[in-house]
Amino acid sequence: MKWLPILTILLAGCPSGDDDDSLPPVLEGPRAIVATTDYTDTLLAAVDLETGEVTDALLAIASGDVIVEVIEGDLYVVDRSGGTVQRFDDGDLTVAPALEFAVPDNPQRPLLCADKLFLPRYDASVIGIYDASTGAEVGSIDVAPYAEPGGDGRAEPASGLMVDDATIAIPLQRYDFTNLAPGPDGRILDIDCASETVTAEHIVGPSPVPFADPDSDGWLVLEGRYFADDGFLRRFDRTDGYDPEPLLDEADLGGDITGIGASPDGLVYGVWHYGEDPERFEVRCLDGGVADDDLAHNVWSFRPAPTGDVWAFLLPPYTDTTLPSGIAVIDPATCTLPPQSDWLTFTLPPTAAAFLE
Amino acid sequence: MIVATLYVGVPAWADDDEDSDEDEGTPEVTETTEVEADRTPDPAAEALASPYSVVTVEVDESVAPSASVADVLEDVAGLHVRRFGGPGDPAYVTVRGSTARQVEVVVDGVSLNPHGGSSVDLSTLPLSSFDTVQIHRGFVAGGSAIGGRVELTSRPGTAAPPRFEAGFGSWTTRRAAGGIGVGGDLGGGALGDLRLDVAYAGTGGNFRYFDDGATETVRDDDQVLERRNNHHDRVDLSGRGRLVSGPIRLTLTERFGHADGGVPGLHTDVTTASRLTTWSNLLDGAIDLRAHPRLALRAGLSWRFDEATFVDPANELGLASPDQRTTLHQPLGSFRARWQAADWIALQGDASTAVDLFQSRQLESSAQDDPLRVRLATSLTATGDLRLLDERISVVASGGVHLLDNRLLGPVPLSDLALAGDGSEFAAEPTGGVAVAVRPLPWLTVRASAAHAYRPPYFKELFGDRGGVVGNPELRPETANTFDASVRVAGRPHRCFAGALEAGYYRSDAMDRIVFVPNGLGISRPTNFDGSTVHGFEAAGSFEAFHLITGALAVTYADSTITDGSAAHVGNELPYTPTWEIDASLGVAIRSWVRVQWRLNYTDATYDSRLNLFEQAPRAIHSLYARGQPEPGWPWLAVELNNLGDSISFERPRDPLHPDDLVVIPVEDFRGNPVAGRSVMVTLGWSAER
Repeated sequence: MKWLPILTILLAGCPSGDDDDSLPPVLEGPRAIVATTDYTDTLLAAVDLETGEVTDALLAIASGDVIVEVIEGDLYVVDRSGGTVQRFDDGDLTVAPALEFAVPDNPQRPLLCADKLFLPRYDASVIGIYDASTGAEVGSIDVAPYAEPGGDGRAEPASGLMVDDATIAIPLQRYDFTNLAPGPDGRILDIDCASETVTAEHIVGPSPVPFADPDSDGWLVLEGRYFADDGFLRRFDRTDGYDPEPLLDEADLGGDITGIGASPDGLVYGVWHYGEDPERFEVRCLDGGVADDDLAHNVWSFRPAPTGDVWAFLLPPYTDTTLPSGIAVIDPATCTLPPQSDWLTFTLPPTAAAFLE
Repeated sequence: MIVATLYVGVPAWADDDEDSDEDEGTPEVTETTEVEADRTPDPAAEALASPYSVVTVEVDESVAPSASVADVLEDVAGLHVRRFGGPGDPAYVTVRGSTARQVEVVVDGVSLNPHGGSSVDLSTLPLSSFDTVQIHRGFVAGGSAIGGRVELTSRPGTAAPPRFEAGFGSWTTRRAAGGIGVGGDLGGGALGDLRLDVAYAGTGGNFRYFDDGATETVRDDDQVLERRNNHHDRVDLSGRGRLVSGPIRLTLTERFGHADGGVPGLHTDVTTASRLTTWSNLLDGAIDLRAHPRLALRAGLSWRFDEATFVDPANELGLASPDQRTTLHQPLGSFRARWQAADWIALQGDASTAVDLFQSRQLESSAQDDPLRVRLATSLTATGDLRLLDERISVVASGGVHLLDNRLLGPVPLSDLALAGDGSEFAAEPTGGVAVAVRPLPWLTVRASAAHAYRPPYFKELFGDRGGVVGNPELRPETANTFDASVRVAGRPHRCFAGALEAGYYRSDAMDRIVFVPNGLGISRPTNFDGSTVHGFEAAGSFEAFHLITGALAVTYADSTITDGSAAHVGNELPYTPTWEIDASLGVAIRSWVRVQWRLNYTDATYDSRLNLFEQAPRAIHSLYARGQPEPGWPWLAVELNNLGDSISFERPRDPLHPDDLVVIPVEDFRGNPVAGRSVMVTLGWSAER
């Protein structure tokens, strides 16, 4: 294994031929690009959505904090710790990125709006605005004025959502370092892409993470402190605000909600019972189903797939880092966690995915 | 500098004793029979006969004046130094594939990280205040460090003539150092000596580095920039006094250090205002008593204080770096009894207890400070030292137990994490080893050692820093089994030539390494993660010819393998463990008039992570050092040229999966922290003739 990269490089010096398999294969068709990582390096892999075939190690990135996003058929790879955004046209990872530009301060998921890329810079209380063709910075929005009053002055803009073709929504998690805790509430800002101005400010719960609601044009907002049973999952209507009745209550669940995956076929979520010894995870469905109530794996996050399934990213627990990891494809209608032998597995634990159709 | 090391050691075994001035390190007070036990040994000579894998470096005029402790260690076989940048920036040493935390650093007999404390930043140790640097690789009696031990020692005042030097160079790097030593008869049969040293080092730190604009594939934004917010100022004061009266010797040592400087951040996220200020003090007192001609007792008490204040007013280093002040008080008591039972056997018992009192305070926070955390660590060791057949056979066997009491550590920050068990942590770990040396001929030594070593987790690992690290109080200690064997030859076959060579094999099997594993929130949690095996060979030789030419060569080969942990890593190489390291020097010295020395440090490309994907640049750093002095006792002038090739960038594949697609990236030891390129330093100094 340790000689493999060297061998690969040496082989590259040989005359190229059709039988040269040292380069990643060209992939086409509906597929997912999966970011897998050991928290130091990242390998991008692909999953054929029709066959479930995994093609591992398509691209290596010297960073342990990478997210992927597909926008208009192109793959964006955001290295959050390295501060770099790369665009691979049509998701072709066999060639160098068609666009690469630097975005400092922990960039989050990009949104393409009015031919501009909007990238929340979590550590700088700024939403950077970049020319979608060149990557040149063309503007920015200072969201520090929306930080918690009397706090540390930081707003922590996180990954947002498209509202419509002309508007984006960016959550502010408003972590307060003066109290080492999230502020008492968070914000979601509506931003007009053309004028690059904030047009509305929605008050939501602490540490908000919004998801697109497949059942409405509103959002599902997961809120609450990390490592505490104080959060909720709420349905947020853009006109009327919160539905008074939360969809999920961490206090009722007895654990911390690790994430949700909302597809038209149903909603899947994870619960971390961090206070138990040994700690335990659950994968549940909003309709009351229980996919697994005694899972040792760390339920990292979820992602709805275009197939209607929900992908659950399952990582080895801290107590046994040698356990295999993978993606469990869950049908929300049946709410069943497939056996480990049916998980999608990779060289490294998977942490993020984006879908190319 | 290795040149001097081994050369100095040679006369001890040679018939030719014309180098009588090599004894100049022996203090006058040791010339009396009353204090014979105080005789300062010749560490280089002892090293050559030692059953340990040990190297001793003399800090003399063969060492460039602005050299750091890191520079010295870099030349030693089996050691690998990693730097955060240029002068004054943090640097750490690893031994035979260990982590930096697994290397113990001892200053004048006092450990800076006893019982598994955190890694020691070599930039905090002013080399000019010390006279010898001794490196134990692997086993050393009474020790438990997995990688080894680095000992910095200053000679007593009577062996420290007045000296002063000042230098200036690239990046407004400046330094000044001075010292004075006095000693003599105090009357009433008492002898005393006192040594004082002061050192200042500062730098603008604005060295040039290659910046790829954070975009490896875009060449248009590549440029050479100056490092910003990387200035440092550091002052070190030390004093050491001894009083000898009859069978009693009292030693009092005081070391004070203060540093202030910028924290530059990653080259992709340059800072302007982040700052780190540190204060440190080490007070050590020891009493030696020759209770009986065959019984020597020693009791010591030291108090170490460290305070580090980090501020990031513009939040340039991210949310994982809150403004905070950490303080550590560490009283340490030790006792040693050595009984020379017979001429051929000595038995020694050692006991030491360190009490770590640690507190972290959030400077921005209105929340309560972390509670004071107290850790007790005790080691009890028994050692037998056998010298047989007219010292042709030496055997050192040592065994002991290390006790760790965490019961007073207190609750875990963010205690609703409930990561702790019941809070009663108590650990006991046996350690020990044996070293054997056989010297069939005066110029030939064959030696071997084997040991079991361990390192318990430390505060940050147990409790985190309330920023980017959440502690794990249930961590197990790291342990390792080590073995090495080597052959040494040294001698002076001709009056015009002396040489020494040591070559050997080593192996280290480490278990339960502590690795920081991030969770989904970007917060790291330390975990007992993997095991590893490192084995290979080390060879180091030096020569001196015609009292004019000196040379040294150290070659290290390391074959490392991760043996346990994630399936993606098992079978891979350990990161930061280069397969080959070659350090060479060649010098010409005409009396004290002129000295010219060339130095090469070659480090093989090494992976920078356990996945073995990306390599750090292979580095061949050439340096040149020239020194001139009309006569001993006159001022001298030194000029140093470092990194002559100005190696600051290198080309490598964008990733191993795209080998034809080359990118240029900065040379760095730690990702995002470029190292410095070519520099020049001029130093003017004076030292009284000894």
